[in-house]
Amino acid sequence: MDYTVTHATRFEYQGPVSESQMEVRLTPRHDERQTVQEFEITTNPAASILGYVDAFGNDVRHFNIIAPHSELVVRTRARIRTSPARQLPERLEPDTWSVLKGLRDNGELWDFFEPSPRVPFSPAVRALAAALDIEGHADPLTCTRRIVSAVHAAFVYTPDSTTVDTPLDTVLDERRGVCQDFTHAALAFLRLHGIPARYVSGYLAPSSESSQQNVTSHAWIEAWLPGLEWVAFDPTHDSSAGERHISVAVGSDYGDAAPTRGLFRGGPAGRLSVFVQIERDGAVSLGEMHWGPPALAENAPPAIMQSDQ
Amino acid sequence: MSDGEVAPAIFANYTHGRSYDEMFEKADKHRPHYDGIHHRLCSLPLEQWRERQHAADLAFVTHGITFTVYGRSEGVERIFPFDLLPRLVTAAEWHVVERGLTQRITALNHFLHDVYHDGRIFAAGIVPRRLVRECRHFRREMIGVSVPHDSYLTVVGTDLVRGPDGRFVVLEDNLRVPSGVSYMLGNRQVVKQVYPQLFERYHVRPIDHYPRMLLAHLREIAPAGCVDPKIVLLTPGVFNSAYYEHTFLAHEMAIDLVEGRDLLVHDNTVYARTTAGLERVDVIYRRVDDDYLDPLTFESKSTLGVAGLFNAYRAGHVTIANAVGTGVADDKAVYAYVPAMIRFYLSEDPILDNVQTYLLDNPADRAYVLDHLAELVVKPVGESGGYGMLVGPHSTAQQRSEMRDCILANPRNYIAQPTIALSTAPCLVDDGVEPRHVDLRPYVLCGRSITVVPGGLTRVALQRGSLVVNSSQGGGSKDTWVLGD
Amino acid sequence: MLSRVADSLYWMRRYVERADQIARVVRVNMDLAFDRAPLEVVQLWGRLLSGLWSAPAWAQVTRESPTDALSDLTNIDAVASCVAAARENARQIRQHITGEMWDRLNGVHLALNDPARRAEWAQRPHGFFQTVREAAALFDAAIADGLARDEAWHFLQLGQFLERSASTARLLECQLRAPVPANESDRLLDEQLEWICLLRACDALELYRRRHRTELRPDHIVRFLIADQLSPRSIRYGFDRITETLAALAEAVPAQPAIVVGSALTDAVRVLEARDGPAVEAVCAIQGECDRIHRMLRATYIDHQQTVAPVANEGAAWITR
Repeated sequence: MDYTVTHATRFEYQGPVSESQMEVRLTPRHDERQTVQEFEITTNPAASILGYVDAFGNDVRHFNIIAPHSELVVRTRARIRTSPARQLPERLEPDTWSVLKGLRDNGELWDFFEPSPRVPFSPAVRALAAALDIEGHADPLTCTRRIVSAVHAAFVYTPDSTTVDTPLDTVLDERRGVCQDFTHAALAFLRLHGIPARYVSGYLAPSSESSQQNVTSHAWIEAWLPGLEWVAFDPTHDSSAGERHISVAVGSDYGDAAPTRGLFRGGPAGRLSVFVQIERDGAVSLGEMHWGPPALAENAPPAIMQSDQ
Repeated sequence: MSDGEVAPAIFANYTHGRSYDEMFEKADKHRPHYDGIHHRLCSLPLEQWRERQHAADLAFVTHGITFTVYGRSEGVERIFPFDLLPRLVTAAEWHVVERGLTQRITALNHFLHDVYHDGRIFAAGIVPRRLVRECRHFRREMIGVSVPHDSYLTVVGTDLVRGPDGRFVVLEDNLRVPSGVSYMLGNRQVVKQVYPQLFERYHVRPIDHYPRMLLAHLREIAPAGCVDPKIVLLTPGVFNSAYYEHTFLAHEMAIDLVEGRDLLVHDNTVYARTTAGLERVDVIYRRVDDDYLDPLTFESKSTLGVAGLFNAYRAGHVTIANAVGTGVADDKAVYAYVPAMIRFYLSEDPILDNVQTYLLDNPADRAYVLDHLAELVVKPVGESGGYGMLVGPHSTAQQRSEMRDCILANPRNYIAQPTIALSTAPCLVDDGVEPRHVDLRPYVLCGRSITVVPGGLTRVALQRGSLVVNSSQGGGSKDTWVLGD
Repeated sequence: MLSRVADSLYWMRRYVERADQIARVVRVNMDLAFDRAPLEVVQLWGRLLSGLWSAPAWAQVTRESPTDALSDLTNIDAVASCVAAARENARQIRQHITGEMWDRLNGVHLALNDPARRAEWAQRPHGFFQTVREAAALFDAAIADGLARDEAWHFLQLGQFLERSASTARLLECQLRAPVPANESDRLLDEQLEWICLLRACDALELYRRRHRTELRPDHIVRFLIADQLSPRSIRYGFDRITETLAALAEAVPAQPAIVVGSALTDAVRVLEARDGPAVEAVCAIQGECDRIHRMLRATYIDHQQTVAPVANEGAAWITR
């Protein structure tokens, strides 16, 4: 499926700020499942946009603005072609567990076996993992599917119930959250069972024939399984990740894959708005993007403040 | 003084034990190279020695060569206690140390490059990849990053001890922000005033040019194409315990002493904010830990660093010395593999040995250690300054029980070593001269080449019988004299 | 040099000057108080002190006796807080100042915060003025003798003379705006005393007397404080130093545009000579000029504020994979 994704992030500050330093992970991935035909990024105020590839293979762009400014907008536009969901076998051989154990003992895929800042192995996490009683003896693929389903069943998707900083323990306690929380929970249980898994941030394109504005960012997991390598599942929807899942960045958790990250020098933090529009090729074009009422962005952090010295 | 003569009163309390004594071969027989010192000690009354010691202490106070001791109720400014009697190392002994350290640091540089690039030593099964990945100081951001001349280490302080057999062995490497150089230089200054003639006669090798040497090494690692690199010293600021050393070195090298807030990154280039405008910075000798270097890449709440610094570093537009992520090689568990690294990268046998080390993550080692806690020294792998460690023979049952709990909770975090009888050296105490345990921290400078500074800081455990030499735990220091050929 | 260091040197010197000034004003009022009715003292006091930046609302406080004023810790606190600020700046740039400069600052800081000394001063206020005056004078001497006439020294000079000039102008403004008492005979007496206090507050009484003998004419005093070419305590003297120093700084830092002193002072001199219009406006203009130079100093050497960034071009190029 061919999509055009337009993503705009706007930071509005209460007073002029200076010396912004920003990093964005907004370039869709280019891999076996999807290809990127075109990608464009602009900022307002203008800045030199530099880039590098991070340790997770993410295409990171970064820039800085010295002069005073009251607003910063980062805008990207990408044309992507996605493939349908892979055909997966019904199960794997049980001895694939030992392959995973071997990798873990050898320190391979270390970031994805171990807990990470937003995916701790806390007592609450362990308790829920035990309570969910996922059959650990089946093969890793079956185990993964079961964990994904169990997470979907155990939590209620509730928009605006959490923020990017809500700890996983709180989510476990209240049993509700957004896609980021479903994803972190799934990662915790997968890793506790010895299955290496990573966080994927991206977009979920609309299912109908139409295009859509005000789409939010989405998150799901990829588990590494012997013979299959990275396999994508969506715990929020209890499904495989398919044509509609446009992946952008990966990491051990949200912190590594956040769409934007940055600092500035100035007064109190401002307001963040994010606007995402996904047009499906062939569908009626939405034309130029309008800001409209500020959309919420629970999936992108406010720029972290640097104290005025 | 020959055998059979009665020892002068000044040595009345000089007890001789298991340890190698730097000055005495056995009771009443001192080593030949200590002739001059021995004679001087015998010929001057104790009172005069006390006066000179006092004058030396005053010299330190006047110069403000202080540091801050943590772990007590308040951060207190202290003068690092100094003992007037120099510690001697013969030319032959030093030759071994020099070759050994050069070899060791060369291997460590190879290791650091390997860890952040191909991982050949993991593939070869010599060092467990897992061990290295688990290090608190491993920095995944460094994977694939190039540093000038593949030189990750610029300033290294390796701690050596001399065992009962008289040979130097390596206790640990300090590869992140080793300090103590200002004491080494301060000690030398003071001692030269006290013993000008003896100093001359012994042909003590000079160390005063350390700042110039460091500057030369820093220039060597400037980014490619830099004609006249601007070098700065990045300090956490006035509240840091080693602040005096930062101001001293910056002054001696005639470079700017900067804090994070003085720097700015624009389009991947680092600038200093000066009255003349933004001045490009090429090399940063940093005394700030990795975590606090760059709030954009690392610890976001840090106000000590410079946002965007690491991206400029990755792009090769600025050099940071020591490189980011070197802590992975001074982890005390990784230390155990350094001899194997020397063999792997250099195909040589280690010239300087390690101390035997038990890795508590290893079940067999752990079982042994838990059974023998009263005999061993247990240390956390990532700390420096002697914090959090247990000295078995001097510990209480309560302390051992607490350490057992710590080990069981996080075995990867601890290593254990046998208590080494550190060598002893003569020190001036109230009633005369007595032996105290010492170690040796030579400083090694690397850039395109390696320079081992002749001497270093001899640290002294000031309390009789104590084995803890760290400044932060109440130790002191001596000047170290490496004798000319 | 690093902008932060220049900034700290500048503020350190300004705060020392300010501390000295406040202590002097307090002293003037203390001496006056022994001679006058408390109410008058308070009025004068309030007027003088409210002329200074860090003065709290003293003018509103009624006092029973003059000695209350010093045992009222706010007076020492105002000076102490200036000294503390100066010392904190000095601490951050310790390696750029001499040991003696640091010792002077640190010494007076410790004294001002010593409960025993403060108790003593409550009984014998003279000791407080002495301590501050000596510390400031010795600090100045340490600078004069200990520092090369380099960039650092220029910032110290600017800190001192901008603070002094602005302070003198401010005190002058307050005096010129003071309401005139109705009764003629009282008027002369009060007026004399008020002008004497003003001169003393500016440390210029003896200088004035040597020039003008004992004749105290307000218009002479105003001209003396603003325009006298020979007196080191006139605003003109301060502006001459500022002008010199800005030129030297421009030469030391050729990369930055030179800051030029405006015409506020020469305008004021003209106004005085022509007796053309009230002096108050001219004095306010001088303060304005001090503020302007202060801001320019920051913008040129310290803050490097860039102009506002341009708006981006909407039609940016595509980047093709």
